[in-house]
Amino acid sequence: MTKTRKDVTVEALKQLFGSVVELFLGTTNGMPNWTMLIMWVIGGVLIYLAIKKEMEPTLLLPIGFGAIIMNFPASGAAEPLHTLYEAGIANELFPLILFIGIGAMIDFGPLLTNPKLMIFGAAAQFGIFFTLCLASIFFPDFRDYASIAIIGAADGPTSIVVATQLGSKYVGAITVAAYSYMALVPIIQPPVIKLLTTKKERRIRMSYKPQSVSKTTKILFPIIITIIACVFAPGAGSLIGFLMFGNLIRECGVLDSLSETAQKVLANLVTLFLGITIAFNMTASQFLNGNTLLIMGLGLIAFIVDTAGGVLFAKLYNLVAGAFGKEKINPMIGAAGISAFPMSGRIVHKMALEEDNQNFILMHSIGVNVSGQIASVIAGALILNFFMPMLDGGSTASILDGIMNLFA
Amino acid sequence: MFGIDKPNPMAFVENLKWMGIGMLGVIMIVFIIMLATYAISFVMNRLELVRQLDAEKNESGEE
Repeated sequence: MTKTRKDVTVEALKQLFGSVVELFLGTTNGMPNWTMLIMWVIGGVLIYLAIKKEMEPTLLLPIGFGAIIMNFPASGAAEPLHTLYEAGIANELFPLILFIGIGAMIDFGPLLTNPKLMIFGAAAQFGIFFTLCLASIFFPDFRDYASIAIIGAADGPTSIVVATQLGSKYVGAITVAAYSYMALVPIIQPPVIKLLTTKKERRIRMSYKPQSVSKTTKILFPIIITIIACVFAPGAGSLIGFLMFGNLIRECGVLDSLSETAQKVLANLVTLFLGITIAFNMTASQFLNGNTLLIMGLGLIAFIVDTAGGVLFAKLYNLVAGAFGKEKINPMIGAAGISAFPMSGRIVHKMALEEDNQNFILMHSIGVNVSGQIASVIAGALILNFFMPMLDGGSTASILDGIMNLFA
Repeated sequence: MFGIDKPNPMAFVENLKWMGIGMLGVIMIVFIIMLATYAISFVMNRLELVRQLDAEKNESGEE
């Protein structure tokens, strides 16, 4: 039977528009394909936020574009992105390499001149553990609620490492939430800080005695932190070790070109791959569900409670300091303990200047901010420490185990 | 499609122990790092002082 011209035309049209029909009427993994259009919109919003609002553009733009190319009925992008995912995220390579770059960017000077600021960085991790409890109400699997909690670390690489190591199925949503809220720190933090502090408290001035920190101290600091963290939180080696390795390159003074490469080329290259690879998890079937919205909500709560925890701890410190006749601190610096570096430190400084244009607390707020970076990595390592043994069906590990292991 | 697992409020209470152990752990480790930092700074400042005194002694000896 010979085909008429009409048959040929219909067949050609079917071939040409078959994918369009498939997009509107087909299903993938039990999910109607039209939901992919929603993912295009989400991808578009992320690209818009990255370009127009300059919110974490290095990550939100690749993630947004990746979300678009991943959502076609037979997207050819899935395979290369899967390869990248297996090569760089499933084994945590990309976030850890990025940590080398971040470590090389951080100057621990403000912290070393006033080490007591470290304790405020620790207090601001309260949001992580509060969110862990809150998320457990909605997510019965410990892999999920422990991973969602780490959004409160306000640290993208830590969130990716923890969620991947624990094997959460929400890595995509967790990463997007972590990076989105990091970019939204200037919007999230000020109202919380203002709610918890009085005008008088926000005007508290803090004296700053500039001290020089010796080069040896700056070199020893990353080494000693790594040793302490690895002893007390076994498993922290990957997170804190790479961060401090980057810092050691920066401070040693003999690897300037490596330090520069880590800060610029390496960090940029890994960020480029990291963003688009994260999008591998942003298919409609994985991303579009109530749980994703819930994760976004829980992430926001984590950031708010982190900020509140830091400010309230600083207020508690002032109560004790007042009782002993010691100098009070501006409680706003507690909020800088959230790890979003250096945004959080700068916002607190800006808020202090808005209240009193002669109140310069930048060195203090940046010091707390840097300590928040260390504390958030430690919190991430502790969560891994607590829950990784449960993956093998064993009991949970504790910090005491780390100490016991050292002496056993 | 948009289903959320059935909430279990008791899980919050059950997991409060992680909040306690976690915060205690973070504060403890950071506190130890803080003490170590004070110790490094103290030792380094002392060494610097000794070095300066030695240099001053040498200078006065040469004169």
